[in-house]
Amino acid sequence: MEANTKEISENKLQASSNKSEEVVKEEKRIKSIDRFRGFCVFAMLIFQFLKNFESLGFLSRLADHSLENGIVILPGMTLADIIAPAFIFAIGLTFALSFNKWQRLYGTKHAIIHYLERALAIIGVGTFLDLCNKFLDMFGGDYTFNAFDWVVTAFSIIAILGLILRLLALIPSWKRKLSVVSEQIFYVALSCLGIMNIIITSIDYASIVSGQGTIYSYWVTLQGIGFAILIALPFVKAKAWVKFLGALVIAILFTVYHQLGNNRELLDVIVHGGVVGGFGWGAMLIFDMFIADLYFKKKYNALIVSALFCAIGVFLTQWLGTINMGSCSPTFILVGVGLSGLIFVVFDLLDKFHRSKFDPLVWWGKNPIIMFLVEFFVIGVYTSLMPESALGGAPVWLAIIQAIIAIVGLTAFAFLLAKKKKSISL
Amino acid sequence: MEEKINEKTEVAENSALQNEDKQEVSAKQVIADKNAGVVVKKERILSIDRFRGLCMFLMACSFIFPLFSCFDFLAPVVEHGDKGFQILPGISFADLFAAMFIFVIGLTICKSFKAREEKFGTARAYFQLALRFLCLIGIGILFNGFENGWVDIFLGDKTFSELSIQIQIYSVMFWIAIALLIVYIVSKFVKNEKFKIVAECLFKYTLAIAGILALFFILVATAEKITLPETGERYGGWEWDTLQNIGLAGLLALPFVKFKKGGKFAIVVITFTVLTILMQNGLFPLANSILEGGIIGGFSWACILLMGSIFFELKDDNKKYWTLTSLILLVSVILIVAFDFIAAKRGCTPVYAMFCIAIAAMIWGGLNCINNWKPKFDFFEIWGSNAILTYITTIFVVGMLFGGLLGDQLTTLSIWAAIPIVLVLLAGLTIMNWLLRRKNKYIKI
Repeated sequence: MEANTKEISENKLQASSNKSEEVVKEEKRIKSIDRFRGFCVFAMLIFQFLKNFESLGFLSRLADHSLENGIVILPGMTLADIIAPAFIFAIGLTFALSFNKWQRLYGTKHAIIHYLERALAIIGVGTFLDLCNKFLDMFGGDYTFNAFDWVVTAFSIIAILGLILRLLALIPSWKRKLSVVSEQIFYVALSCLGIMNIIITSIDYASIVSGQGTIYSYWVTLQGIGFAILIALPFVKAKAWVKFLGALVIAILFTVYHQLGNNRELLDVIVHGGVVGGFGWGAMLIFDMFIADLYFKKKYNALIVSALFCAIGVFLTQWLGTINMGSCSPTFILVGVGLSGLIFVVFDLLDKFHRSKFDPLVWWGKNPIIMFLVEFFVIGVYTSLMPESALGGAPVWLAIIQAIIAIVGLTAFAFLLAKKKKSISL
Repeated sequence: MEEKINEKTEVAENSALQNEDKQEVSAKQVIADKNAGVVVKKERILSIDRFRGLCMFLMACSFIFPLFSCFDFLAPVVEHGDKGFQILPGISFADLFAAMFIFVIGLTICKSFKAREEKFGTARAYFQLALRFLCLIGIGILFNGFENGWVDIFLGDKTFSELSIQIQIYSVMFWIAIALLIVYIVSKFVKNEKFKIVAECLFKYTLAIAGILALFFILVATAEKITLPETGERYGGWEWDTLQNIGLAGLLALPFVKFKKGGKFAIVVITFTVLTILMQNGLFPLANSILEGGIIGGFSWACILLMGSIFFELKDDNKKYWTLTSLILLVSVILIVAFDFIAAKRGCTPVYAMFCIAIAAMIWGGLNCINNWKPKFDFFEIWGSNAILTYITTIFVVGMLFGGLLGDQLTTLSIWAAIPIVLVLLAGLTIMNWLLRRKNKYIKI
């Protein structure tokens, strides 16, 4: 009897230790994922900055999406076109892990609400950044604010207030009072912005279909990413094959719509295909999550499936048309998933050779949202204030100096955040 | 006495060769290792037979359906090149079968070589396989002699003296080979071992000589094509067909069968790289001017065969098998679609070969997953059990007798008359294979 009890307690101990090991294993950061995400963020920001300097030749074309000036790698696809799918792939790699962590800590309901808010907030941040651009245009006399812009402004102010309160909540004595309220104000305001953005972009698309053109124009990369997360959220806990089937069904339905009539051209009007194109991006993210599941089971599966995705995507260009990021064409979905997976596999393979603590891409990958905001406000302001002679007309040496300063400066900032373990996520 | 011993050795070798064939083909056979006293069960890999059967069946269909104009609606499926349904620019659906068949030969070549090597030693194993491939070339060229010689003479299109010198040789050799084949078949019923061996050797070496002649003439023709202007006097013969191509691929791949898979892969990579550079820079029109690319295309076909042997070695290593498959598929599709590399079966460009290798590896990989499923009537396994015989029967009966002699009559038939003929032909081939399979009779060269 005593022996049995001892055995049971040993088993329990073993089980709990296994569980904690699993948790530790799950929570342990996989460097290659950080590095891959860092690469995506670095490519998005720095390549975009280099685009300003014509004298840098090939380097200035890295971020160009146009087929005339960009670096064409596949039919209809430039090198710049792969960065956004790669970033989505990076999200897909950790989405399920991150969700599981939240679920374990706070329960399923809370996790779902958190990720719903998070996705809407990402769209909201994108809306806010678009609003800032519209303000600049308005001050420049190129744009007149409409009613919706003012509504967005109002919600943005609430969100900023929420942010300020969140910062105030960092003061220990105010933390208890402000922490939950400020967080909710911030999230709800951003989420409202996100919801409104989805609605007005849908209206924009309806307007395009009826031949009137866009009215509001609020949709760029962050909105696309946020919407893709919304589409993928129902599949986050699903098994790999369910994810695959779900993504396949969405992709097929989207393909049918995309290929009918002149829908491809209509989708191309709004950045990344707008809300309708967002279903394509959603399918892409679910496919990415499927590959991530395979990767965590057996690494080489990710390589095989990615290569197949890419091959099928290129193969289908014969019948479904060229790869087109603008409308999120079906071939773009497949090639985007496949090529991103292959790039990640390269990072993963190189992982075993990397032993040094000097790991700038990991620093870049830890705080993508901050880096986005810094790029938008610092680099954006810098490029809008500098004279043309220092940018487009700058000689090579001046362009190189500016590029080095931007790279070193942003990397140093990313390093500081990483060193202080300050990471800001929505 | 010494003569008797030699004779016995030869008989033993010959019967061992036959036994080896039987072992290779029987569903389950027990090999007793007398020295070690160990009993090893040799399991036949069903997926190889099924894959071979699938290729044979599709090949037979691609011969039969074009005979009837009422089946023209199927043309995209069975036609080669531009006329067929284009899977990739330059590659039709029907273009995949020949490459897949050579891939299947690659799946068994190393095993076959090793079995021979264990019994007869390395040099003899090389010799036997080389002879086998030369015989294949010989059979192909003698069929050409019949088709391009005697069929034309029977139809009154040409007289013997109007035939080219090569066709005259092949057409005469055709009847010699037929006579020797009859002697060889008769010898099977005679209880004289020496007679059996002599008959078999005479038949095989005649075929091999025809094969050597075919190689000589095609080499000369290739050289002439490069050096002589279009209108110049020519000596070589531009006679080449599928069987010759298979034989040449085997001959070119043979020196590397003993290599480890890494070595074979390196050979394939180097060959493909060199050929791609040459094909993209002016060699393609020459390769394309002859069926399957002749001598030039033979190098790519040999690579397909070698890749088949590599994939066979990777069979149990899912990681490497599928990684290699997917990467080959990806590279070939990107090179063809995105970079407009020339893809063609006629000429066998490396990108075409790579694409076919990937597709073949995927199909075989899929078939490997159902090796445990063993229905009583395994259609494709039956079709794959006597591949060479089926192929030869198909090209002789369907291609030459039906197509050559009755071509005009068949073309005008209605679909209701054509369907029974097609069904009878397919059923006939199926029954032939089924009977041979049931009796454990496997016709090999």
